[in-house]
Amino acid sequence: MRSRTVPTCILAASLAAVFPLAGAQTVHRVEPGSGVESWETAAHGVSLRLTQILPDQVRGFYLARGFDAESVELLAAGACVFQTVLRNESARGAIEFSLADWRSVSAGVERPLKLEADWQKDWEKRGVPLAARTAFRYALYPTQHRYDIGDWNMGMTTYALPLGSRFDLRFVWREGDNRREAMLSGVRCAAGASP
Amino acid sequence: MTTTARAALVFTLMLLAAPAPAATPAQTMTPVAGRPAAPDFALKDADGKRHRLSENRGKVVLVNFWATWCPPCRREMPSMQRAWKQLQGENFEMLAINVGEDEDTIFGFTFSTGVELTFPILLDRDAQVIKAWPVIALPTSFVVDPQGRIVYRAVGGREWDDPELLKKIRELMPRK
Repeated sequence: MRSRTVPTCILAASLAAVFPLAGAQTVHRVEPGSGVESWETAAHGVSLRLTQILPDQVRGFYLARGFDAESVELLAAGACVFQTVLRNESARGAIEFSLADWRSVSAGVERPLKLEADWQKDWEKRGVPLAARTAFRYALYPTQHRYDIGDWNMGMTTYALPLGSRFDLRFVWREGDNRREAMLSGVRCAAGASP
Repeated sequence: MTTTARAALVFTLMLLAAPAPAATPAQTMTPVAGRPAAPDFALKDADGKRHRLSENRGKVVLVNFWATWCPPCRREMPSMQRAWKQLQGENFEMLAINVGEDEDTIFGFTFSTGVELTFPILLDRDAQVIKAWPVIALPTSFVVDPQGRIVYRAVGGREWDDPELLKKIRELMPRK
């Protein structure tokens, strides 16, 4: 047994060094009461959690902040929205990220996220009030940021995918000169109706 | 209550109940290189009283940017109140700047916390003050020293009554 374990450990360590994703596993949870699902993983001292936000929750949140019903539908029915928490828990130093580098991967096709700047163009064209656009800006996850150890945040990320879609999320950050990435696997957009 | 309103309420409750990390992480603040001058502001609180940052020279000031719909902001408020109580009587001020909301919304939130928040809550209704500060996301907090310089930054919620954070704040206070 021992003779098999040691090489396995060495192999695993080698794989982890060459393929940093090897050690990152996705933990999937389902909230017993609401049925809302979340996915979480951690790698290199950085953790990421995505939690489904239901379309009705998106509607309620943005209608209460001054969006008109038609504009809200673009977001609630036209995109997948997730509550997102990224933490620098114990990286070796500060990390920097840009959501523009992140990709959803489904059926072998990589897609960029729909970012705050993309939405703001839509809102401006549609005449969404400034106060509502300001709320939107800070409710979405920051597009770019630098997190020192202990820094974290929570906000919405959006994906131009049909409701109910399943995808993996490749998330990327920099730690000094090192580019890091990890994969959150098996994420599923909320369906149109409440679970 | 409509389906959408009910969903919004459930969503808010879900956000508030969002699981904390398995172990409470170490509470940290990041030193700000060069200690830049804190941008001055004058804002009214919910009672209409005006507060100017520069009138607090000689004190350490915790400047916190927040909104009622921001779960980590809401979660850190009780710890801010505990820190406020612990530092009362010392050379300390706490200014919690709400971004973009009105008095009624803020009052509704403070009523719902079950904790009486006695530190000043200021209203940045048109989000002009936050634009002058290096804030990308809410909450973000800054510790300003008695000379009016930004010494520490914290992105994301904190437990503000954590002994390590209180120690760092006290170290900046002028010696009596």
